[in-house]
Order: sequence, then structure tokens, then C-alpha cells
Amino acid sequence: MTTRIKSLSFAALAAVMAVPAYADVELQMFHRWPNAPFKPYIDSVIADFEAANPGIRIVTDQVLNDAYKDKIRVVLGSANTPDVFFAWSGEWAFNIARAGRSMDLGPLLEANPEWAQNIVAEQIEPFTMDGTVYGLPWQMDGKAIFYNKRIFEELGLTEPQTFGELMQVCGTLQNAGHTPILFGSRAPWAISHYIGTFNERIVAPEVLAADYNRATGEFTHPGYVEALEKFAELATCMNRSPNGIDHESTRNNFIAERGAMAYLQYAEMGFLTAAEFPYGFFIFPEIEGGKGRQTTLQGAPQGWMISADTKHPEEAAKFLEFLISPEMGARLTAETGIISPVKGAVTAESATPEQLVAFEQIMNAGDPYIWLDTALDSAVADAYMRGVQLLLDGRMTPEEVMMDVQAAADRVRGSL
Amino acid sequence: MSRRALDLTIYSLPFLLVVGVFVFYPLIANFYYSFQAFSAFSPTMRPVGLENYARLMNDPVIRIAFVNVGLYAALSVLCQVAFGLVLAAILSQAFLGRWARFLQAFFFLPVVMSITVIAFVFTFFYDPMTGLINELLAAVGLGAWQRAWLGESATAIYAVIAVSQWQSIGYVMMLFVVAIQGIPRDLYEAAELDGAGPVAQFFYITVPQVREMLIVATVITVTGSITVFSEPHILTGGGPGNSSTVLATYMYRSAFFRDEMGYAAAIASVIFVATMMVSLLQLRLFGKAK
Repeated sequence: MTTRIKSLSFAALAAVMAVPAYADVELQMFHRWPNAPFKPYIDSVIADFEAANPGIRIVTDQVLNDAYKDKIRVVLGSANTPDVFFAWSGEWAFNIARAGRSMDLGPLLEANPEWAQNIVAEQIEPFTMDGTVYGLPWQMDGKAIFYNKRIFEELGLTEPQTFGELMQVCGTLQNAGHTPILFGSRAPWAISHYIGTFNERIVAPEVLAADYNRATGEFTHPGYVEALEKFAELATCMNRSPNGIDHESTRNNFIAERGAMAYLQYAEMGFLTAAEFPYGFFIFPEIEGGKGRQTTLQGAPQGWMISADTKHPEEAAKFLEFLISPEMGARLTAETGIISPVKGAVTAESATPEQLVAFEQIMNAGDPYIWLDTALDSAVADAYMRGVQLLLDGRMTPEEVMMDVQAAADRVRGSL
Repeated sequence: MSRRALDLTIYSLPFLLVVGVFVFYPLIANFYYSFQAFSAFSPTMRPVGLENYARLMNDPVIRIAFVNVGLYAALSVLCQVAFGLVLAAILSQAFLGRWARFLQAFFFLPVVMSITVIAFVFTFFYDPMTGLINELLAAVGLGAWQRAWLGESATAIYAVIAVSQWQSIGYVMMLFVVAIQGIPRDLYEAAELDGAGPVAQFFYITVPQVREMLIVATVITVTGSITVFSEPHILTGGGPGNSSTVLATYMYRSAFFRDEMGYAAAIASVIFVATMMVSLLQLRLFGKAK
């Protein structure tokens, strides 16, 4: 009997040992797309990756945009960090890198030069801090004013080249009974995209560079107040009470032709297929007399980071390689409308004519400026966005908003 | 150690352990964190002494949060406790027959619904362009009253409070229904013989007889107002600006958006002290009532 038990035990042990070690590898992935068409795409990519790599299993967790910003802080501060997670570029990513929560991806790029060369180099830059690459781009994006071509043609309007012309277009639209610009600022990040643009056009680049740096930011330049004044002027063209509307409603209202224009991201083009009218888009026009850069495009890559605490760095890197490959890049653009940063992924076969135009705009824009809420320290960004909500509500003046921003910037500088 | 003492120790140890780990340790740790400055991401902390508390004293947002919590508490006591008691008294009337059960269930239904679902539904109701409330106002000729209920500083906190009342009134009402069922019927019969009408019976019999439940309901409602989070977080995120910010949403925003974990811990300490004071008041009032 004892011999039999021993034999069975050895057989069981041998069976366990026969299973390859990599069979146990489970990667945790955390991203911000619980919605279609993005989640089905990511799920299908994971299924393909798992089929090609039988030893690796990927478990995902996902929450929408704003909830992601909160939840990622909690999980990265915990002992159970996701191996691969979504990241915005700029200060948002650097905050994670400074805390030592993300892996240096330089060795991965060096080990696979052919693959690395496929990624648009300018899109890696916003994930690079002090010469170290902490994230890789998966999505190129930009912000443009989308307009209803049918309404524009009916009223004989053309794409405005300057802020003054934009205001004239708004006047014509208002006189014709249209809401010129749809806007929803209930989720404050939508405000930051406008303010980032006005700052970019009105304030000199060297001033912005100093103020957007958390170690030197003061925000005392009068250009910031002027930027808010211009924004308040543009707000007269917007729907009433934007603070009561979220960005998704803004997009839906644009699709439903409740307004003529909306400041949207290229990544939202996938949703615009529901629109029953032709649409066009243009980069935010230059602002007369502004000291900033007049032709730049707002937008920054979004991508992926690998946790510094991952127990499976090789498998996580292998997954990133797969995720940001030319084949997956082409599928990303074709299936979701997101513009891939992989060279050769955005072609007439994978992209719509509008996406090709957007791709060209991004590639020709040179040095893009990052979304304000991810470019600034979060405390400063919060003061900015909360203040502008009250500006829109008529409860604060531009000067008062900037006083709050300056106080937040002072506090951040003092905390370093 | 005697056998009895040993038994007591063995039986109470798991409880003490659980309470210690999940209640007292986080509480003490939170007080410790409130004297530090650190980020949610970073393992390193920087001692700052009383700096976080000094900042609290001068923070205008904290004042707004306290005012909003006060409003929340006052309106909740008025709507949930006062109106809940009236509702319970009406729904306990014999003439309603079987309808009483149905109506009780009807008013209790929102209590069992997820507040997240409720808040999302009300977000659509309140939408300034396509929302049901503005559409209804226009339909009855009150178009001039249309507002961006969640998007205007003047109305946001009241719109949020209204959702809480809609959801919670059924719970408080059921507490009173149970309390009213415990009142001897002969008190009402005697009052009726003496010529007391329903209103007099309510004030002279029902209210004094449910006094203890009145205190309990008030305390539950007030402490709930101090710790309220989900409704303002989902409906307005504390905005526009900080106009509908309450203590818990400000704590959350400080911790997980502004990355000021130490300051958030200080706000959490304030919430703890405030709820503790209300609870102590409850114990005192409850003792007196008995």
C-alpha cells in the first residue's frame, strides 16, 4: 500500500513538473475603455496574443476616463499593481515615473531596434523624462474644431483662419438660429483643452515652458488672464450652461445637429460615423496679437506603461511589442478609428479619408502641445479647471481664477 | 488565568483582532498620515507637522464643504425625518387597507436601488438641453424656470440633495412605520373617543411615542450627511467649481486627483471628529430620552 502511495505521489509530482513554467504567467492589464468599439478591439488583440503565446494569459480590468484617473492612483499605490496599464503622456506619466512605479522601456527599444523604428519617434518623446522612456505610444491624437459642412455651406461659411473670423462665423450662425459651438464642461478636463489652446496661442512658449514646469510654475504672466478673457468671449458662442453637460453629450448633440461646431479629438471620429451630415475639421485658428505659437496642434500620444513591480517583465514587454506592432496598428485604426503611431498603419486601406487628413495634420504639426490637464501638476490643473467652471457660471473673473491657479502653483513649488 | 477569563479571551480575540485591524489600525494610521505629505504613487513620506491642519483652517473649500454638509443635514432632517414621519403616519392608517403595504413598498423601492444607477438616471433628468425636468417645465408653461440644475452654482447642491431625499425617504419612513406599529392602539381609540382628530392624534400620540426613533432617524440622517459621497461625486463631481463640494468629495479629490494624500488624511480626520461628535450627542440624547 505504502509503495503504491509513493508511486502515485511521484507520478503526480512528475505530472506537475511536466507543465512548462510559463504556463502560470498571468498578466494584469488595466485600461480605460470599457466601451465599444475599443474594448472589443482590445479583447480580440488579447485573444490573438494568447493564441500566439500559449503560456501567457492576460486578465483585464477597465473603467472609463475620469474613473481611470482616480483608480490608477489607488492600484499603483497598492501591492497589486497591474503589469501593463494605460497612460497619458506628459506630466501625468512623469508623476508615475518619478514615484518609481513604471519600468524603463529603453532596454526594450534597444533590444528590438527594427520594431522600435516602426514607432513614430516624436510620439515617444512625450513619454520620455530625463532621457528615459517610461511609456510607449499606442494612439496619436489631436484636437480640432469639427463643423457641420451642411450648415456651413447653407450659410456660405468657410473655415476661419483667425479668432476674429471664428467669432464672425459664430455671429452668422447665431443670427441663423444655430448654436455655434457645443460645449460641455461638467467633466472639467474638457475645459483644460480649451484653456490649453488659448494659453498656447497667447502666451510666449518660453513663459509656458517655465510655468508648466511644477518646479518653476508661477502663472503670473498677464497673458494667462488675457487667455481666459478670450475664452470667455468664445463662450458667448456656446450653448447655455455648459457646466451641466458632459463631453459625451456634447459629441452626441453635435451628431444630432443641435449645434454647428464642437471641439473634438480625432480619436472621436469613430463615433461620428453616426452623423447624417458631412463634417470637416480645422485646427484652432490663430489669435491676432497672440505671443504664442499660432499653428500648433493640441494633442499628445496616449499609450502604455509597464509597472516597475511586475513579476513578468519579459512577458509584459512581449505583449507591448504585439500591441504596438504594424499589424495591430492597422487593425486599431480600421476597427476603432484611433490613429495608430505605428509607421505604415494608417493607410487608405485602414483609415477613412477624414482619418488620413487628421493623420497628416498630426504628422505636419511639428511640436504638439499636450492636454493641459496632463501637462500640469494635477493640483494646478484642478485649480484651473474648477476656476474656469465658475468663470463660465459668472461667479469668478479671469483675474480671480488666475489667483487660485497661482496659489496652487505656489503650494506645489513649496512641496518639492 | 481562570477558566472563565480564558474563555472570554478566546471568544473575544477574533472580534478584537478584526476590529483592531479593520477599524482602529486605519483610524490611527490616518491620523499619522495627516501629519505627512505624500503622493498616492510614492512610498516616501515627508513629515509636515501641523501644516495640513493649518491649511485646513484657512481653506475656503473646507468652509464651502461644511456649509454644504450643513445644508444637506438640515434639508435631510426636514425631508426624511419630518416628512418621513408624516408619510409613515399616513401609511399606517387603517382606511388604506391593502394599499398601505403597496404604498410602503412603493416608497421603499428607491432604497434598494444602487445609488450609482440612481445618480446616472438623474443626470439625464437634469440635463439642461434634453433633460426630462426642463422638458416637463416647458410642457406645463414654466419654461422660464428651466435651469442647468447641476451646472449652475446656485442650484447644483440643491439638485444633489433632492436626489438623496428621493432615495432615502423610504428607509426613514419604514423605521417610523415599525415604530408606529408598536404604539398601543387603545391610545388612539381613547383619543378618538375624546374627539381628537387625526392631526391632534399625530402630534399628541404618534410623535411622543416614536420619540426614540425620531432621535435615531435624526442621527442617522445627520451622520449620513456628514459622510455623503456618492451622490455629489457622480452627479456634479463637487462642481461647478466647488459649489457642491462636500467633505467626502473634497477628501477624495485631494487624495486621488490632486495627489495630496496627507491633506486628504487631515480632511478624513475632520470627518471622523464630526461624526464622532454627532454620535456622542446621539448617545447623550438617547440616554435622556430613555
